[in-house]
Amino acid sequence: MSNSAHHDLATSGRTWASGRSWLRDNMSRFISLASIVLLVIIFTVMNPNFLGAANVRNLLTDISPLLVMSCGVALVLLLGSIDLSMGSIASCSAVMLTLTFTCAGWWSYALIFLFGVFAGFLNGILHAKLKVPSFIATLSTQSIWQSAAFLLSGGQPLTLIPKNWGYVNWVRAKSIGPIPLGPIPPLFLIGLVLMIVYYVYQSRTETGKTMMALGANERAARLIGLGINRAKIVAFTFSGIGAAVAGMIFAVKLKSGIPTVGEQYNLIAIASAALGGVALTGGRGHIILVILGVGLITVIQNGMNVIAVDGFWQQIVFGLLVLAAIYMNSDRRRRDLVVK
Amino acid sequence: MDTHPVLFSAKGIVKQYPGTTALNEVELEVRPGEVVGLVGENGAGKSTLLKLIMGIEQPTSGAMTMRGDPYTPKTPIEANGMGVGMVFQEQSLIQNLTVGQNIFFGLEKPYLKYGFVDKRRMYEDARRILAEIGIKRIKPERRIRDLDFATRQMVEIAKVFSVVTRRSASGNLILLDEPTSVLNDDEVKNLFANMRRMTERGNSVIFVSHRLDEVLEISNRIYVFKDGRNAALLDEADADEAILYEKMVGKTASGEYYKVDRQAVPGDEVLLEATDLGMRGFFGGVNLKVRRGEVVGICGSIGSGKEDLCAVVCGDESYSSGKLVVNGKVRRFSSPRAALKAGVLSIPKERREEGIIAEASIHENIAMSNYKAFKRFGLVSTALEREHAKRHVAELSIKTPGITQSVGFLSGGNAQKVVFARILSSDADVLVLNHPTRGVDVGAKEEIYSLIRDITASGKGMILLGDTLDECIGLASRIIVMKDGLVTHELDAPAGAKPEQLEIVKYMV
Repeated sequence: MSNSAHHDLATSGRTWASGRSWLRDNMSRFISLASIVLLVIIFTVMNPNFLGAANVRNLLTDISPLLVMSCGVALVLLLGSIDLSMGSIASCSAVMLTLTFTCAGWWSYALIFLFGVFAGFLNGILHAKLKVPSFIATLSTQSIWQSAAFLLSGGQPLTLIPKNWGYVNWVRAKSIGPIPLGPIPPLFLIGLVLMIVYYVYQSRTETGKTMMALGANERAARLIGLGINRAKIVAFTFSGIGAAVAGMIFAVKLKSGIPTVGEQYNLIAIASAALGGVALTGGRGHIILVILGVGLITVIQNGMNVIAVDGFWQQIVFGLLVLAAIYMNSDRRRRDLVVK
Repeated sequence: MDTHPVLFSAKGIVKQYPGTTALNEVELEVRPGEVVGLVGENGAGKSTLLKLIMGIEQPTSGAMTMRGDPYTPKTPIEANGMGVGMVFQEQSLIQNLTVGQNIFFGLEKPYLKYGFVDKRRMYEDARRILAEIGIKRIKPERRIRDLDFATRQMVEIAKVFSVVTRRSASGNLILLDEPTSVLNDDEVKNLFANMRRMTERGNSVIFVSHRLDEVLEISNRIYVFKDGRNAALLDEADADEAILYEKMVGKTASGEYYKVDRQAVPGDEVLLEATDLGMRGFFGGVNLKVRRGEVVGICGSIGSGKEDLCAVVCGDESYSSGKLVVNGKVRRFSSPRAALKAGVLSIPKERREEGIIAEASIHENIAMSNYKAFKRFGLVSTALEREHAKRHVAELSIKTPGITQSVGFLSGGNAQKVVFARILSSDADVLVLNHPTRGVDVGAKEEIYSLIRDITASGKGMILLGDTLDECIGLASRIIVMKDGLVTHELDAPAGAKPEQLEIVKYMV
């Protein structure tokens, strides 16, 4: 606000989408990374099996659905919007995948992927074209897809019939062709690939960069001549794809279509993205760093199971963690940028 | 008490901001019971002086007195305590509270009863305050959001008045910054009646307005500011609109200042043509042509429709009648993006809110209006962006520690140069420049003028809303004058035969 403060800020180097010093910008990453390392050490000391091959495989498998969801919702958060329908899109996808194997075979995966495109696109249209606030639009579609999941499954968890197991056995593959995977599960690779695709899209395409710009300043982005509506619709579509992929991961991992499987993951995905440094106010964050948030949350959840923390206590720890993370990431200096 | 012959005085006031002097040795004197008009073009320093008087900012040097005593307020609250209050240009009332709650906002303490506000007593006092300045039809129980703008303005004035008269019923100073811009004729009359009632009781008013006729009607004496200095002090009897305007715009700057020798001679090819263009309720019947190398300056006062015309041309608004042809095709832009695709791009007026993404780096901002030029293998290449930005930063001498710097941390002039770099990097060949030198210091202004000459020399066409009338005349090769949404005059302004300001002013007022 004061001129001297302005001068101080002007002399320190800054990069895209941060508006903060390099040190401060990277601090939260270091803290996330350091917390992961610290927690891994603590859990391993308390139970050496934590870093055993079996549990590492578990951890990486657990990360994948959350990672694809978080990367999807991160794009929406960059706009300054929110997507509450991911959980039920995932549930619906899980149920649908279980049902479609019998008639569509391998094509089921493509079908459910298309369902994700459609569901996300619908959110995007509601928000960008019909100008419904994203909170309301996705809350409504959340309810619709949740009902659809219940109707399709008859309200019961569906089990994959043994005849169709052939379509999901790849989950336990130890190699891709001649390349051995070691302890890395194929599901984790799917998450990783999707994350990289999203990252490249966000940081290296016009539409991706528009998401950032419009999250930071929609009025300016419009007058600069950027495609605002397109960026919004694409972000929601990517979010829908992330949710559908997460749903498929749940289905193949559990060999069943549970109509409530994605429910609890929606808010956790948002929290992970925030932990990974994506500002809930939009315009700031990196998709690639979302993996830190996802990693931290998964390590905590898995670790608390490994050292047998009471389930009710787990929720308290989780809540405190998210609070601390958001506090570290909240941009208390944003004001300086706004003042002329 | 309060019988000092001079209520308020400011002497030798200087206010410096980094890179620019907003006020330079300014004098102002207010006598008890008078209305002092304060006029000047954008950036003349009127608002800065009001901020100093209100204690929002402190002068770099100079002295102010109030009733003969030194006056150095550090905050608006302190100023209020000394009997000085201000009605701000942007309204400061809280929408979902009532009139009475707003008037006594922050001053509820005397009305507390068992820890709760005694609303009945508060509304009674509010009614009395409103009656004091002659407003009887506003009920203190009504919510602000249910009132029209004019009534809100009245409440705002009543609130300020009640705060300053807490000290004493007379000898107060009220600052009104553009209070009439949202009012219609009857409401203005009412406001003036209230102002007279205040001054009859020995209070004084400093009245800032762009509408010279109003200033003339209400003021006893009129100060004219130009470029942060006193340009004139006139008695109401000696002044008329033409004289005021002449003093406001001052001596015409030399052609050299605007690089008139480099003014391009317009080509024959018409880039943009508006025929009978109109936007219901804002402007109508506008005909204009922009040729290659031409700068079409649009002059007009606030509310003349020139801003809305620009908004239509650059795709921010849609037109309701007439025809707009760009590069030979009839166009109706659905968005600024559509306009950009057709070759029209604007430099918006509010740079921070509309022209830049403050959080993004210089190189990213420069690339934003033309990503396809920075693609490699289908993806936007940071390396290409940076290479390109480096060249522009050097060419336009943008002062920055590096091209990865967020634009939000650059000074006004440098940020504006980034906007120009973005426009230059785009494919647009019709540029709409809306106050391109607003909030830019003198040095950067000249560089921008030079840039404008370069751009037109390269064959692009331009629509220009100048920050001052002088600037508009100096830069434009053709001038269109607008008043109340209609074109009132059109003339050529070739290098060496620039029209006088007064020639244009008479069609503006």
